[in-house]
Amino acid sequence: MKRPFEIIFAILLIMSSLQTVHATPGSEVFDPSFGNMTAGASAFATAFYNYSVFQECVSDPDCGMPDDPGSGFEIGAGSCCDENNDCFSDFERHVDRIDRALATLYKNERTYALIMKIQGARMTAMRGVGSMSAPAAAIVARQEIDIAKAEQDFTDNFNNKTLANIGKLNDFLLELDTIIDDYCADTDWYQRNGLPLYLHARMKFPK
Amino acid sequence: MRYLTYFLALGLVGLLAAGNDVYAQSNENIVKDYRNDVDGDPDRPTRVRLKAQAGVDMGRMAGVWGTLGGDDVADVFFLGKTPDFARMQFDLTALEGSSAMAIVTAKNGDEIVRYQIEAAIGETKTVWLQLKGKILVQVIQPELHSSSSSSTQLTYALYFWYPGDTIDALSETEFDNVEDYKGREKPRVLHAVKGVAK
Repeated sequence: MKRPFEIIFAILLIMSSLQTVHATPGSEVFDPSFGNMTAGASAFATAFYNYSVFQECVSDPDCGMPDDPGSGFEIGAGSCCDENNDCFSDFERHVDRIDRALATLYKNERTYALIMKIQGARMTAMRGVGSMSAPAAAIVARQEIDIAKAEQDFTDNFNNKTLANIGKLNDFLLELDTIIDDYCADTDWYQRNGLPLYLHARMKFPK
Repeated sequence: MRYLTYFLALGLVGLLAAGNDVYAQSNENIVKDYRNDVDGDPDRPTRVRLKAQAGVDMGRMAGVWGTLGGDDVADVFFLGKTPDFARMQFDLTALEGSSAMAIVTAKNGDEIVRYQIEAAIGETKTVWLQLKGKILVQVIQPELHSSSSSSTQLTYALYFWYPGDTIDALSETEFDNVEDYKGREKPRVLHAVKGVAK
C-alpha cells in the first residue's frame, strides 16, 4: 500500500518544481516596470481629479483655492465646542470628511462639463459631414437624435448620482450635528451651519 | 485501489497545472511575448485590446513583456482604430540587453503619422501622443538597424494607457497643467474655524 503514495509524492514533487519554473520564467524582471506604470497612472489620475476640483472652484467664489488659505467656506463649531478639545477634535475630523464630499461634487461638476464639451464637438463634426450631401444629412440627422438622447441619459445619470452625493453630504452634516449636540446641548448647529451648505450644494450642482 | 490512487494523483496534477495557468494569466492585461514570440511582420500585427486594470483608476490599458534578439528582429502590435483624436500614454522600458525603440504609426485615410520612442538600457520613456486612425506599434532594437553588428537579446516592457474621453477634452494648456500639478493637493473647500464662521 505504501508504493502508490510514494508515486503520488514523487509526481507532486516533480510537478511542484516544474510549476515554479513555468509560472515565473523571468516575470520578476517585468513586474517592477508594471508597478511603476500603474503608480504613474494613479498619480496622473489624482492630479487630474485635483485639477478638476481646482478648475471648478475657480468659477465659484465660495470654493477654496490652494493659493489663498483664507478662501472657501468657513464652518464653526460654536463657542461651547471651541473650548472643549475633544469636541473640537471630533469636529475637525468630520469637517475633513465633509470637505472630501464637497470636493467630489466639484470634481464631478467639472467632469460633466468636459463630457458635454466632447458631445458638442461630436455634434459639430457630424454636422460638417452632413452638409456634404443629402443622404449624409439624413444619416447625420438620425445620429444627432442618438447623441441628444445620450446627452439626456448622461444628464439624468449625473443628476441621480449628484443627488445621491448631496444626500450623503447632508447625512454627514446631520451626523456632525448629533456629535456637537452630545457635547453641547441645544446648539442648533445644523440649522446655523449645516443647512446653508446643504442648500448651496442643492442649488449649485444638479442640472 | 491502485487505479484509484493513480486517478487521484493525476487529478491533483491537473489541478496544479490549471491553478498555474490562472496564476500566469492574472488580471494584468499583458501580452507575454517572452513566452510566445509575437510576429514582427507589420502586415500581421498582434491585436492588443486595452482593458480595465486593477490599480489603474482611469480608462483602459494593456502591456507587452517582450524580448528581441537573434532571428526575432521586431514585434508588431495593433491597438485598434480611433475616430477622434485620442490622448494615449506609451511607457517603454529597456530592461536588459540593449536599447529599445517603439515606432508608433497612426494611419488615418491617406495620412500617416509616425512617432519614435527610444529608451536606453535601464531607462523608461513615458510619452503622451494624440492619435487618430488605425494605430500600430512596432518594437525594434535601434542598434540592429543602425549597424551590422549582431545584437544581444533585448528584454523590454511596453505599456499602452488610454485614460478616456475626459482627458481628450482637455486643451493643451489644461493637459500640461494636469501633468505639472502632479502631487499638488486639492483645494480645501471647507475650513474648520473657532469662533464665528464667515
